[in-house]
Amino acid sequence: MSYQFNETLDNPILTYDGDKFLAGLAQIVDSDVLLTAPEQLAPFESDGLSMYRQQPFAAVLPNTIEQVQKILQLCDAMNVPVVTRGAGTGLSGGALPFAHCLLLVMSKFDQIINIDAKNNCAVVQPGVRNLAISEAVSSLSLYYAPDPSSQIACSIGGNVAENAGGVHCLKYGLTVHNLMAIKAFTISGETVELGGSGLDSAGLDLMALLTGSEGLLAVITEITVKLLPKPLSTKTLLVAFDSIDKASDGVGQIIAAGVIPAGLEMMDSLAVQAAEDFAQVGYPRDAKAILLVELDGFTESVDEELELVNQVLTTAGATSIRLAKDDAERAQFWLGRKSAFPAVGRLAPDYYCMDGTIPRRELANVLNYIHELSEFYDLKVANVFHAGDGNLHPLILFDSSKPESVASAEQFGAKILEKCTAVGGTITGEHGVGREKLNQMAVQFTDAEIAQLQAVKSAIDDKGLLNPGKLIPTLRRCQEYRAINTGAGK
Amino acid sequence: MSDGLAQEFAEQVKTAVADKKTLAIVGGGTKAFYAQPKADNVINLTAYNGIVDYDPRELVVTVKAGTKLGALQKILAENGQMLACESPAFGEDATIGGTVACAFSGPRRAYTAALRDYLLGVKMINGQGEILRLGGQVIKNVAGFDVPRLLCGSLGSLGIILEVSLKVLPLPHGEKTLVHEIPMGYAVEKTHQALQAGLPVTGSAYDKGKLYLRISGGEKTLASVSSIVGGDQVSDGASNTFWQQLKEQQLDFFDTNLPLWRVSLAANASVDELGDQLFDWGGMLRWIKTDCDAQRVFDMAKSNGGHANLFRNPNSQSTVSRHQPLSGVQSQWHQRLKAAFDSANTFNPNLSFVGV
Repeated sequence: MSYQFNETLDNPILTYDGDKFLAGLAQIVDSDVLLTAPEQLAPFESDGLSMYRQQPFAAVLPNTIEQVQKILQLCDAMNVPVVTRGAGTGLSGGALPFAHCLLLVMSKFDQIINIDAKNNCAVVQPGVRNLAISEAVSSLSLYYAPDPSSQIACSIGGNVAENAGGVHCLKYGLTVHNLMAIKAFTISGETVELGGSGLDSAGLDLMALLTGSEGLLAVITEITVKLLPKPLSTKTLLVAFDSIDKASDGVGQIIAAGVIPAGLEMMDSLAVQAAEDFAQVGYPRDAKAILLVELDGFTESVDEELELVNQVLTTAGATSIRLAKDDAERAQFWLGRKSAFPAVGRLAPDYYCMDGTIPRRELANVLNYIHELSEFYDLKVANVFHAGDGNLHPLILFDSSKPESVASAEQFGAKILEKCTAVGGTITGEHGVGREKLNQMAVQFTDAEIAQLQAVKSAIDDKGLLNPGKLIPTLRRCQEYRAINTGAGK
Repeated sequence: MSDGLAQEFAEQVKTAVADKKTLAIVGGGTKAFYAQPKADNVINLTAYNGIVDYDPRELVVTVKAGTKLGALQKILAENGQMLACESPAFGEDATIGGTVACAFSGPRRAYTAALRDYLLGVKMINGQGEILRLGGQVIKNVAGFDVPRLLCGSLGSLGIILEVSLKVLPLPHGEKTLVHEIPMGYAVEKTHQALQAGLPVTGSAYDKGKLYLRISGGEKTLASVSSIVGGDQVSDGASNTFWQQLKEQQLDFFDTNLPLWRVSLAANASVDELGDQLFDWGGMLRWIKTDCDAQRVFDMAKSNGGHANLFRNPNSQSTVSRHQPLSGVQSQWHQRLKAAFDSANTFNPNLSFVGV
C-alpha cells in the first residue's frame, strides 16, 4: 500500500549493522525492555491510524532519561532512524514504524515532577496522560486546558509533538498556547532547554518550532505546562436546527455577537442519530444538525453571554434550545459528542477520520462537496465538526477487509483534504500530517515552500534520522503526486 | 499592483544576493530604538499595505506587512474586534509587519494572548528571493513546521514578512480599572488571588506604589467583580489612558536617561534591587531602570528562569549585548536556522540573534 516507506519517493535509508546495533542497545537497557520478536513488536506496529501497519526493526522502552540520551547517541553514531512514540493514539500515522527504524517508546516516563500552584504550572514527563495532569491538579482548582478526544489515553509528549487541540481550543488554544517550557534531546543526545518561567524567551521562538514538529527535530523529555484556574460557572446548550446552513449561520452569529464559547461543536444528522443510538443522551433525532455551545468563566459573565447566545440562536432559526439543567445533564450532552466516533464506527466495519480545517463561510460548500463524493464513492460519511474554529472531522465509513473499499476511502479522504486547501483551509487542523497526509502536503504547498520546510528539518537534524518520511514530503514525492493528480497542485 | 511590488522585493533580494549586498528590512521605523537594521541597501515595506481579507465572523484578518498598526486596529474596532495582544506601536507609523518582527505584545498578553499566539500564517520572502506562504488563514492548522511563529520576534533576520494572518477577538463588552495602594510583593499576590478566584482579569500593572487591575465583561460582571476586588475605581477615560500610556511607555516611569531593561520571568520571582521597577502582566514582565552591569541583569533573569533584554539604551554608542545570551545548543540552532532561511546572510545582518 501507498503508506509503506519507499526509498525512491522518501529518502534513501542509511544502512547499519543490525546485530552490532542490538548489541549496543543491550549495553544501555535491560533485555526486558528491548523488543525484537514479531509477537513482542505487534502492539507497536501502528498508532491510532490502525489501517497503516508495519513492524520496526526493534522497539525499546527506556526507564531513564539517561538511557534515552545514550540510545540517541548510539543511533546517531550508527545512522539508525528513530521513530518516537508516546501513547500511540495519534491519528495520522506519526508514530508508524518503518522496517529499518528503532521505535523509541516513551511511555515509562509517566511521572508528574512538580506542581507549582503559585505560578500555575506543572513539570511533567512526556509519558504522563493528558487527563492525568488535570486530575492531579484538580484539588487546587486548576486544570490543563487542551482536551483532545483521546485525553484519557494520549500522553503529553505526543500532544506537544502533534500540537494537539480539542473541543475547547477556540477559547483556550492548542497545545502551543499552553506550554511554558520544553526539555528535549537532539539526535546526538545533546540537551536543549526551551522556554522558562516567563511568558516569552530569548531569541527565536524555538518552543513553537518544536511544538507540532512530529518528532522530526528532537525527542521531548520534559514539559512544563500552563495550568488554568477552573471556571466558576459552566453552561451548556444543546441546539437543534432543520438545516446545516442555519446551524452554520448560528455559529457565525454567536461570534458576531462578541461571544467566544469555550466549546462550539456541530454534528450532522447521521452523526446525531449514531450518537443517540449508541449513548441515548437525548439528542433530537429529527435534527439536520445540532450545536453544542458551552460557555464558561465568571458567573455573571456566563449569564450575560447565555442571554446573548439564546437571542442569537433563536433569530438564526433554531428549532429547539435546551440548557443543561445540572452537571449530570451537561455531561450527558457531551457524552453524545465524545462518543460520536465509536458510535459512527458501529455503522460500518471501519471508519476513517479526516481533519481538514476551512474558513467557516465555506462550510455549506464543502459539506455539499463531501455529500457528492459520498455518492460517487458509495461510502457513507458522518460529520462531526469543531464549528467554532472551522475544523472538520468527516468520518468515512468503509470496510478494511475489502481492498477496493480501503482504496476508495483513501481517495475520498484525499479529495476532502484537497477541497479544504482549495477553499483557503488546511489539510490538517489538529491530527498532524504524519505518514497519512504526506501527499496532500504537495497540494497545500509549492516546491519552494516544501524545500524551505526541509531546510528547517536539515538545520536541526542534518542526517534526517528523526522520524523520516513524515510531515515533510520529498520534492520527488510531491512531483510524482502532482503528476498523478494533474491540476491538483497550485 | 501590490503583488507586483512583492515580486519587485523578491527581485531585489535575488539581486542583493548575486551582488553580495546586505538588505535592511524596514517599516515605519518606530522601533529603531530597539532594533535598527544596518545594511548596504534598504527594503521599505510601507508601500506594501492594505487588508487582504477580513471577514469578522471568521475571527481572522489577513493584512499586508506595511499596513499601519493603527489603521488595522481602527478597522477591527469598527467591526467590534481587536488584536487581543494589545501590541504597542511606539509611534503612529508603526506597521503590523514590524510589530510581528519584534513580537511586541501589551498588557492583555498575560490574560488573553500573545501576538505569536494568534499569528496563524505568513507570506514571506526567504534569502533565495522566493515568495512563500507558510501556516494558513484558519485558526487550527498543523501542516508543516510552525514557521510563522518562528518569524514572530525574528527581527527580520530570517526573511521579509510580506503578509500576516492573525486571529482576532471581539472587543470586551466593557472594562473597568480598580486601583489598590499596596506594596509590590502583595500586588503580585493579589493578582494571583484574583485569577485563582476565576475573576475576568485582563490587565495587572504596578507603578508608583499602586496596583492597577483591569477587569472585562458586561455591566453585571463589572459590578460584581468590582465589589469582590474592591479598591478605587478610576473613570473610564483615565482607565483607557493608563493602559494606553503603559503599553506605549508614556508613563512618567519611562521618562528616564537610564537604560531600560525588559525582564520576563515568573511573577513571584525575587528580583534584586537593581533599580526602579514597574511591572506588567501581574509581575511576569518587569521594566527596570538601571545602569548596572548588563551581566548582572542577565544573571538575575536567568536565575529566575527568565530572560532580559536591554529595551532602550540612551547610550547609543554602547557595545553591550542587548539580548540574554543563548545556551550552546540554542545558539547552534539559531545559526543553522538563520542559514536555512538566509544562507547568504542578506537580511538585517546586525540583528540576527547569532553572536549578539
